[in-house]
Amino acid sequence: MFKYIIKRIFTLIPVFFAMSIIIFGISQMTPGNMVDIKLAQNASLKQADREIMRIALTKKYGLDKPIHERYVIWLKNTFTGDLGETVDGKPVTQALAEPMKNTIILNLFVILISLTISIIVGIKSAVKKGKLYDRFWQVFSLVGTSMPTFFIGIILIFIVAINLKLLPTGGMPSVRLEGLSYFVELLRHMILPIITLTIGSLAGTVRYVRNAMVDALNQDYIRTARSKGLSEKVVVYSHAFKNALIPVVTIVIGSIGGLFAGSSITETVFSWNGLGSRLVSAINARDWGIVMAVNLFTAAIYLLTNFITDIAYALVDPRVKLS
Amino acid sequence: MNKSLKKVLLGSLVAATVLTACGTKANKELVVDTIEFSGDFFTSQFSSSSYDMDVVHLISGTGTIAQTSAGKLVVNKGIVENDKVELVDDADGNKVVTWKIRKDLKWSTGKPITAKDFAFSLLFQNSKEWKAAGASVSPSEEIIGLVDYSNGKADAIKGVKLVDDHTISLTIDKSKYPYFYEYSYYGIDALSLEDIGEGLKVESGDFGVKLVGDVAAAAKAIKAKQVDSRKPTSTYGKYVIDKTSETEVVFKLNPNYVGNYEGVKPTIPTIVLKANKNEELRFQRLSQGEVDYVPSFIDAKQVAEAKKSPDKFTLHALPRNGYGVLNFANEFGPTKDVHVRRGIAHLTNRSKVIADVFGGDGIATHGEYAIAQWMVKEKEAELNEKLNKYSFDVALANKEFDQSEYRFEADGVTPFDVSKASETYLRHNSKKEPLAVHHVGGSQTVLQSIESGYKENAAKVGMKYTNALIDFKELLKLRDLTAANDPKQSAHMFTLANGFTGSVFDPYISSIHSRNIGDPLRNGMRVKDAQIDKLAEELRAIAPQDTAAFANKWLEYQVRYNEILPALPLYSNYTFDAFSNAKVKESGATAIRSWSQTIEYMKLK
Repeated sequence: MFKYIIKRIFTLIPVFFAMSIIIFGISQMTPGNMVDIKLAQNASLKQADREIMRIALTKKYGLDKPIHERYVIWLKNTFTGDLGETVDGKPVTQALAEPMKNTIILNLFVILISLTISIIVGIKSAVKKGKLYDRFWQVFSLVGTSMPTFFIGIILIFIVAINLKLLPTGGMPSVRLEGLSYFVELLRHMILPIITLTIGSLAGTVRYVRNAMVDALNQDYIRTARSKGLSEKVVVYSHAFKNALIPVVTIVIGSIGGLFAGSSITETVFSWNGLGSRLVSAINARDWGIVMAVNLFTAAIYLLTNFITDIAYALVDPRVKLS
Repeated sequence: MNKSLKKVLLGSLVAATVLTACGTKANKELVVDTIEFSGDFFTSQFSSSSYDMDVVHLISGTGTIAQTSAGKLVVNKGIVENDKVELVDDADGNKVVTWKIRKDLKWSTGKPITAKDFAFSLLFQNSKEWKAAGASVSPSEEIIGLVDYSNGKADAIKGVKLVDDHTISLTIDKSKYPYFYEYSYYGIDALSLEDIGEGLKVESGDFGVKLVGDVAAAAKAIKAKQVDSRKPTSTYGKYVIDKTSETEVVFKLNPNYVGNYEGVKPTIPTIVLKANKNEELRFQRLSQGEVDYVPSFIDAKQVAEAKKSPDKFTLHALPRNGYGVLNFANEFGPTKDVHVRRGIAHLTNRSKVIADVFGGDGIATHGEYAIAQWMVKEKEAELNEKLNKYSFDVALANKEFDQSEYRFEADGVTPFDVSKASETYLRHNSKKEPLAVHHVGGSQTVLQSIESGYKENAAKVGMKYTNALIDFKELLKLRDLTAANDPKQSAHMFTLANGFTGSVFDPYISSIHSRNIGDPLRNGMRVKDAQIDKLAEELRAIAPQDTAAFANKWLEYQVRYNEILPALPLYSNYTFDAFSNAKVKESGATAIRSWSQTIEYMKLK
């Protein structure tokens, strides 16, 4: 197992570097670098002063160096925790600290709720295969998968916030609140984005759990367990569900990365100050420091979750031999 | 349905109801909707947006010159003891103004505000070290020695002297007189040397004033503590920042504030600025009671929605102190020709743009002005009489094109026959170049609205018209190519917007005077007209009190502008501040001064 982990880590390294090259390359190819942006901010300067500024900024941001040298500098800085600065001159690490915390809080709830409901509903749907309950969730998951999350978000805002006036339309809890009142307000602001992201994530996971359970329930060992006179509860939860967990683990761990990357639109719709909405603003502002940092972070999360999935597979499926 | 699932759903419903009951707002506070903070709250030299500027306006107020609600420049008696500006000539004939700073002023930290703080502000904000830290520095040319100091050619500002702890003098270059807006020369503000100066000292002598200490290190530290933190530590203004996060700033009344230029102090105890990224829901947030005041929205749908409930919401219509404009490249391609520009103006359906984009809440303007300006009100009748309205009319467009260089067929000799005009039968000049224009815009709504007139009628006048909707930053990049008369320039028409700074109108400094040619913000379209130059120079040289003469000269300028049409003004619209009638009694915002600049006049119920 230890050997396998080390081997996997070594295979991840070139993938990470390849991703970093792509991310850096795209940022360099896209029009609008830091010098252009800073010059646009200083458009009131006279032509001669702008030229002086252009030369100074080109040097400052290393744009006078060849692209491979710039890449090495960027990567070296990234590894030492220096992610550069935003277009308004703030350190990227500082600019991303709060959004990252908010995204993690939001997504933890989403993963937890989505997983809980998926397992309960998936098992029940498999047990009641073909009945009304199963059909309802089949249709629900189909609708959930086909509807874009921003649309679900807008519908929820319209019904729950605007018409029923139960929750805020979006935003973050007030900085003035502390302790319990802050937590209550945080929950109020999180409910709609959580529901939106959960519906998006739940729809797929329910189908996976259900199908895995249906497969498991059709296996010979289940027939054997039933013929031994075991109760249906024991058959379903101890025998079938344990085996159905294998594909579910892949989906659940894999979805962690997806949630970080996929919440940009939902966060923007609900004015949630997270990594996703920060990424959208940064792209609009050509704030490459932020864009590269968030993309590299998302890439790293994906690699990490893939790695964890492989390990988890071995843990839940005794048939898998890691070598 | 599963019992446990039912329990979960029921539990969620109960929790949502309880949580709803918890979400109530405190009284005696004003919650203002804003979009997103992006720049700094310190000196606004780090790309501050208008939303950041609201914060700056609320916490800053040490300027020696203030603006009235109508935009008039006045001595700020809330800062200085002087009743008026008194000028004394020095040995070289330059003008010296001496400010006596009030002795009762204190920073938010409790330390006194002194003349050194004003000198420190001038020295630090214009220093090359602050520029190197990323600040946008543009020193004013009027104070003797300031530009040389800022460029690193001198280590002191010669034209500033500390007379005593509460007195500072400025020497203004004699060549800068007369000037209609001369009060703007005398406006300086302060930064607390003791609180935020990071050990720097200010020295004064015959050399003027200079900073002593490691300015580069101080600039780095000040940027981290005052700019990046978004919570400046020592301020003087109507409010102080109480709490701040990335999406919210809470302000409390500044107990040390002595009042504005009229002695008026704000009365609202707490102001909360809440930033929300979703602009589409600004009015909904107001109607839900999540915010009390929504400044500056122009979206026609949201305005229409707000107008439906006059009992609940007040829509405060503010004439815009700026205008949307179709800029022409004046030294590139067919739009070099005045008659081509005038012809295109006749193909532009400006009423449609106003209807499509602003739901009719705006007017077509015909010169370099905005409906908010006092000169427009004063000269309304003459403007109507003397300016060409460039009505949407294909026949008049053809008449203009016939007078242009583009009056031939493809051979460059045979006169163009309007009756044959089509997409393939185009106008050409004597060099056999076709009349082809490329238009770029950053706003889809405006571009879509405006292009319809051209697409429908370009063939009828023998013009080839193409356009592209591009990202705003790309648009500025193309504009910069035109400004530099770069061979790579490709666009002839740009839909953009122009704004005026307060009530100031000075094309010599900020617009199309030929001295500014090539400067993207001032004269990016490379306008060069001797008559415009002359009028701009005469306009600024009018004595400050002679407003009648200024209005007359301004009218002459507008007539010339309208004649050569370096750009086609499209609209000057209204912006709307909306507020809840249950909470807000009156707003002090005007066309020239925003709600945050006039907060002392806003009253809650």
